[in-house]
Amino acid sequence: MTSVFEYRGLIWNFIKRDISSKYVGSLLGLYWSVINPIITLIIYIIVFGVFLKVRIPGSTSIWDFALYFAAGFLPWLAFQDSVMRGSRSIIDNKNYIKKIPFPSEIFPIFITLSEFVNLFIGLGIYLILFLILKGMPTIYILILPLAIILQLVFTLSLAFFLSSGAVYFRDIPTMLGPLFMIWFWATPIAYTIDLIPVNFQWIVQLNPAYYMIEIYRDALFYGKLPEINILVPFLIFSVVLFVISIWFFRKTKTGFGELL
Amino acid sequence: MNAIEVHNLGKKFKLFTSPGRRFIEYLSAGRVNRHTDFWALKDISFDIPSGTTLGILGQNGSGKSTLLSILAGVLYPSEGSFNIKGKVSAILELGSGFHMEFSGKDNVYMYGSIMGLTKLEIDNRFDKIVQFSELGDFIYQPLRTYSSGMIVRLAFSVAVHVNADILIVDEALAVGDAIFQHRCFRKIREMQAEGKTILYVGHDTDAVRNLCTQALLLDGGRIIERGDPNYVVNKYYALIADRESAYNEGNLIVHGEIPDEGYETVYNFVEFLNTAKIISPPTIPVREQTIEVNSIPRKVIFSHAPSEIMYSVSIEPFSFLSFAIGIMPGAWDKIPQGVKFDIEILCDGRKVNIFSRVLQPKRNIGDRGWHNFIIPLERFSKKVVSIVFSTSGSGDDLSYGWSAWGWVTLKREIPQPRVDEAGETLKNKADEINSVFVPGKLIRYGNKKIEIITAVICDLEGNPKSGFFTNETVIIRITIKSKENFNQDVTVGCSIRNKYSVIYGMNTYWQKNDLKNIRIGDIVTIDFLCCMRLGDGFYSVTPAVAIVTSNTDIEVLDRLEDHVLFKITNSNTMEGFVDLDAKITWNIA
Repeated sequence: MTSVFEYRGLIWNFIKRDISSKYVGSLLGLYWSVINPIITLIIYIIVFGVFLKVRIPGSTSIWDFALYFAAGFLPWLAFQDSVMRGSRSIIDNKNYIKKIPFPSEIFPIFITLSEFVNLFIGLGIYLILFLILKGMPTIYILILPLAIILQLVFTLSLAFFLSSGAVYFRDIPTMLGPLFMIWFWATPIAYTIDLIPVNFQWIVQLNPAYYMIEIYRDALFYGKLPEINILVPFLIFSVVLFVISIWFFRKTKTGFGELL
Repeated sequence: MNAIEVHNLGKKFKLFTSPGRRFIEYLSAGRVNRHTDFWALKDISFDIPSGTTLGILGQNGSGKSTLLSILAGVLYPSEGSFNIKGKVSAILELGSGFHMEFSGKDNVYMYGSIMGLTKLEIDNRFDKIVQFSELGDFIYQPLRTYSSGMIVRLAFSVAVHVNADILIVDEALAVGDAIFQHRCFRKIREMQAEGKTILYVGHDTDAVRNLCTQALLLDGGRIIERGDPNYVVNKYYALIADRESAYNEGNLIVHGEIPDEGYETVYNFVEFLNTAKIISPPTIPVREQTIEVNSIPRKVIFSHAPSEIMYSVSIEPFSFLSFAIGIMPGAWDKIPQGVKFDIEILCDGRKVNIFSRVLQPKRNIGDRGWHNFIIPLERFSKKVVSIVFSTSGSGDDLSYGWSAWGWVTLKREIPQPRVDEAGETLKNKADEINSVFVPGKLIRYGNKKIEIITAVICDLEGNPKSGFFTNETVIIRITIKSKENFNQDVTVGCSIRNKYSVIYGMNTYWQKNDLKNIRIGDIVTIDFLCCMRLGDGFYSVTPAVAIVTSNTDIEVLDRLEDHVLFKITNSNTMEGFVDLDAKITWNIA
């Protein structure tokens, strides 16, 4: 990774360019990044909170459910978007990879980082919502940076795996759409874990996204320290996955030049 | 000290005919083999001392770009190693890192940081880059407002100002206007003077001659020459000439008999290929393809050997099978044993071989090109038969056996009334002779006050032929017919050309033997008796009739460009176009 660190200036330039190019020429520009999640949020809250009357345990307020949902959904949205775009980061940048010699690790990294803007927008939306509905957040909001870093490590690992894999199997980015839909519904985001029948709960225990979301909810919504059996397994899992993903990327990137 | 050292470098590409096959191979983790190997580079070894400007020449597909991509670090070698001392700036494709929506300035910073410069370093060079690129205030405009030349100028400016020790340039100098090219060359000379190492790749042989201190010639992924640029450039030209002649021989020559208007097509086998039963190994494709013969597109069945293509057809009376066989020039060297073409007919439970021929274009020059055949099918008339076209070969590398069945059709002879007028009959006769070669686009001009009816080249007995030997005496016989009465002298001439230039031209004016007193309706035959002091190759005769007042004042009556084609065969006792009939003497002092 030392060589990648030397290119930090370039990564920063790429991120700046990526973000501004996304909004150059579109009329409302950056506002879409705010409007889109808000619309999705409202639809889910109406369907699940109002129509289906889902409530979190120990509360009858629809606003508690709304905040619970938003605390999980907004990080999820950013996670999903960055993995999906990250998976195309190598094939979309073949002009560079085929023509200019520099470490191709840069591409999944800068795409993931640039997509994290969406996470910050999402968290901003959440905090405004929280301030209106509940007032000041608790001291445990300080866990938030940890949650973000863990999500970043997890997202980067997947981006490394999938972006390199996509060079060999071009179908990967297309396959991700339905896979993420399944993953979203398999993760307790729009519903609570106790709604899952007991003999299916082990599926949730094996789902890394559940751990990631749970840490966010502790920091943002419940206002408590994450449980050890949530934080430690996810931390170890993310770091190990990250190391393996970099190894995998290094191993497979020798084929990029000729396969793109 | 060597700036670049390359040892036994090789690059292998795996070729898959479909992504599915690639996928199967991945899944099996190497147990299943679904690809063919292609070595784009093999056994490449060389050292480049610091300060050298090396030109790399080669035809398309010779591996130049692969080599540069490996040295630039974009591709990884399959075998061997290389060692580069110093910072590399590679221009593999000008402007490939540019973004159209951003200003020239933004792009300079972006491109600079891709090339490994810090912001401060770019700040320091920015003015120089803008000055060199001559963009002026345009540098603050988005790139999409630039012309393509401006983009190239900007990219080149950044690349040469990176201040790398080694500059790799891939065909980049060919773009830009003359003044900018001039400046690029000056900049390259400056860099040479500073002791930088430069790798230049391109088809611009003048640039290689003038700029480079050394040159390298690649062909088929191997280094075939290395050394002084002038020497290597000459070798490169020789290589191109070889390919040119192979192409011409492969695509322009048509041997044998081609059916004329006296036949009508009953069944076109090429068009019904999808109804045929094809027996060939699954990896060997059989498909329809269009090729150009003498700029005329023609449909062929492209069939790698071994293959069998079976059709069921009913044979009408007076039917003929018309077809051509040929092997694609690119395959000649790959199949020393050649390909065997067979046609068998299954009729009434019996199998009859009606055609069998082996083409060995590598060994036998006469086997190159397209060979036409017309085979009568009288004995099968009024029967439904199966016709099997098969190819087979004995070479080991049959995957390269690009053999083809050309324009395969079932023909039926239609009786045609022949016009009894003298001129027309002669014309038919001429067509018959000329059909030995498929004529290209006929270029004919003149006011036709006198028309050329025929022009043939024949042996001393007067038999039209299209092949002669060096120093054989021939008669070029031109027959003309006048449509007017002429009081002036009429000049008849002909010139002999090969594809490069006129070899020889002669007319009645120069020999003071012009035609006099030509009346309307006169048919005149003019014979040019000449000795073919020509080397091996193809030549054409351009007959012309004109009224010549002086060498510059000519009224063309009729002229047929490259009307007659003929081949001269030489048994390798000379080289070149002309036999100067050297008499060699020697003595020991």
